Amino acid sequence: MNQESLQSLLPQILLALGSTAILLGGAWVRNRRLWLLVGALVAIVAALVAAFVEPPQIDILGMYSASAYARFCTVLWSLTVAATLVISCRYVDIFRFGGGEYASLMLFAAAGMSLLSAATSFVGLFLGLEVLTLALYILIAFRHGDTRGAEAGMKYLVFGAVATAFLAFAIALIYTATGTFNLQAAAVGLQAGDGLRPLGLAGWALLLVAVGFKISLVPFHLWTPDVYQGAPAPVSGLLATAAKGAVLAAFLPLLVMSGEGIADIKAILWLLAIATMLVGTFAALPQTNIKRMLAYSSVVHMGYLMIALIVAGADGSRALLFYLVVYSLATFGAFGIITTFADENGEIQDYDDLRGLAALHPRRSALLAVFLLSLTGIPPLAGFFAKFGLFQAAFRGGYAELAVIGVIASVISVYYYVRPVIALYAPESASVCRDVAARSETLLLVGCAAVIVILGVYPTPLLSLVALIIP
Amino acid sequence: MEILFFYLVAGVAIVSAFFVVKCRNPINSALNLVTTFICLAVFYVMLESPFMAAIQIIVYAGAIMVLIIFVIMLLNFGQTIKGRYTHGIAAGGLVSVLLMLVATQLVRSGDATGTGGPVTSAMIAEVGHTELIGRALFLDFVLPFEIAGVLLLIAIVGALIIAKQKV
Amino acid sequence: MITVTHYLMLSAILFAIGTLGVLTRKNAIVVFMCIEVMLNAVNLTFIALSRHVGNLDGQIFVFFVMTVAAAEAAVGLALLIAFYRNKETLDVDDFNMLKW
Repeated sequence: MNQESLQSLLPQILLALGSTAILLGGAWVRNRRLWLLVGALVAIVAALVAAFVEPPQIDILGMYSASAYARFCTVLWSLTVAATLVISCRYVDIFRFGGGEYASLMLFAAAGMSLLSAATSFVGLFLGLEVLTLALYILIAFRHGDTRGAEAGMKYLVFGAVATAFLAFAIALIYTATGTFNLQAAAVGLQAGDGLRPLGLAGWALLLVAVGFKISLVPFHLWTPDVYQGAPAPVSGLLATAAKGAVLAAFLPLLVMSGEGIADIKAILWLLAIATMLVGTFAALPQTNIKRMLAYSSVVHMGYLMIALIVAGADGSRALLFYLVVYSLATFGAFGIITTFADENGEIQDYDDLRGLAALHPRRSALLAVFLLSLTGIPPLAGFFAKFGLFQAAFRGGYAELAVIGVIASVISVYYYVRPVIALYAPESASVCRDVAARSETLLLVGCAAVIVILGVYPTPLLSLVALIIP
Repeated sequence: MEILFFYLVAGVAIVSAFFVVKCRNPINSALNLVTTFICLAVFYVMLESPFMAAIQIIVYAGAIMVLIIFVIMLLNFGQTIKGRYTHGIAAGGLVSVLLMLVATQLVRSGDATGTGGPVTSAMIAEVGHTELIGRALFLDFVLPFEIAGVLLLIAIVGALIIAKQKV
Repeated sequence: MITVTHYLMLSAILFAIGTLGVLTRKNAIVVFMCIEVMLNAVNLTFIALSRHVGNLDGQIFVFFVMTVAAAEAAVGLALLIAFYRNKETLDVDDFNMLKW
């Protein structure tokens, strides 16, 4: 390890060191808001460094890469974490979280995510993923004396640990078959038609099981609604956006390079995508809890993203990254609104809690409506454009059946996305008046909504940026 | 002779692993798990990796098992559990038998990728296993080693946050 | 003569037994122990392979698997304690405040 490789890893090192510093400082100065803002600052600095400081070498010790793609991912995840920290300011005061610990775990999660999506070897991938999930286990169960939180953390841990075991065994099988830890070489080694190819394929299948657990593809999605419901709202937001995006981003470069070895994996992905879209949609229909509905919605959206992974190529990956950004903005926004509505009695969860809130809180209700409608894919918003690009890529790539199922799922999704909006704008007045949101929260969420609207009308800048960084 | 020994230890490992799954009492499961760990340590010695065998005993049989048994004692469910299994016993059994058949079948389908790395029995005997591991860990794998350190830091902080009573 | 195939078969069997436990047992702490069995099967594969291939990469990976196992055990058992404090049960079936 020399100076060049350290310099190339600067954003990740900044995140980890900043996190440790906050952890230490938090022991002396017990000011929640201060440490959250310092944490957000560290994340933003890391994002800026990743965006504007040219790394001296691309390949870091054969473990990680500092390519434009990896740096783009680092920027995305760091900014998501910074936004999550800003939005949690009032939330941590209400529920008396340890501010230093909370901020430092968030930053560790950011470091894990950026390592994960930059990984070029299985060792790097495994460790990045573990840093991320370990931080998430703790963040989910962060609320003291909250049975639901502890139970959600427990559930996520049991499922997560099983996924880890599967991942490790998958790596063992792939290593047996190809004799390498390098991701690209392992995928290439799969194409050589020797006696061990079935073993390697079994390894990739187990890897898909592990990934399926992490990004909650059907049939491995069972933990999703419970964990999202039990976790603190800002943490659920992070789980639904950056944590899933990082896992997807790690596997995108692999599936982009097509080949015979990948064809068999794509057949499994094809099945998973269809099952995920259909089961997720029908499970979302009867939900009356907004966090559970958003959980199933995230399952369905992972199904859409699977389409892009299967299409692969430049078309597919462009559609995937664009969709990922737009989906993350809207989902983060929706969880952000839930966060701002939280008070001493807890969060708003059931649609009954939402009933008539629009009259009392017109701004936040309008924002929530914008986010949900963008997730549905209503035309002027970015969600429409992202879905359009995705399905168009599927048609062009010869996967018309996936696109059709996706369109049908989107049409049905109108029902479950519009239900909370209808509840918000119900004529009767709300039973409880919620607290006023802090100015920083409102500004951040308005910013999210503005980006969604702008990207819906004028998506060219993001599209050209995405085209630029595709591996 | 050696192969007989292999089968003996493998048999013990499999039986004790099975009893980890089957035992009514978590303490019995834990003790069977220790037996499995020790059997694996024997294999590591047979594979000329004495350092890994030592680590296996110290970390797994020592640290992790003590932690698990400590929690069993602390939460005081040393006694038998009433309902042992979930409804999925048939499905679970089927899945794992299938997994085992597929995996063993596939393993037999070809020879694992080529020999010819630099580390031979003679080299291990001459340099020493610990030194070889140390070199690999601190020269080629320094970066993952540091990340593993971060991982342990998170675990310590997390265990404290979750388990302590009041903030 | 013991070949690498013997070890790979053994680890496949151990992994399957661990999976059986994870899928069928109710008690959370027993589920943890079954996960440890699965991870140990992985470790055996790596060490046998590393010996077979003649380099140490596999054994280094075992280090990281052990680190992860220890970290997960620590956090998991802390969660168990936090959970038990509120709920007084460890059956996976009793995790039912949150319905599917």
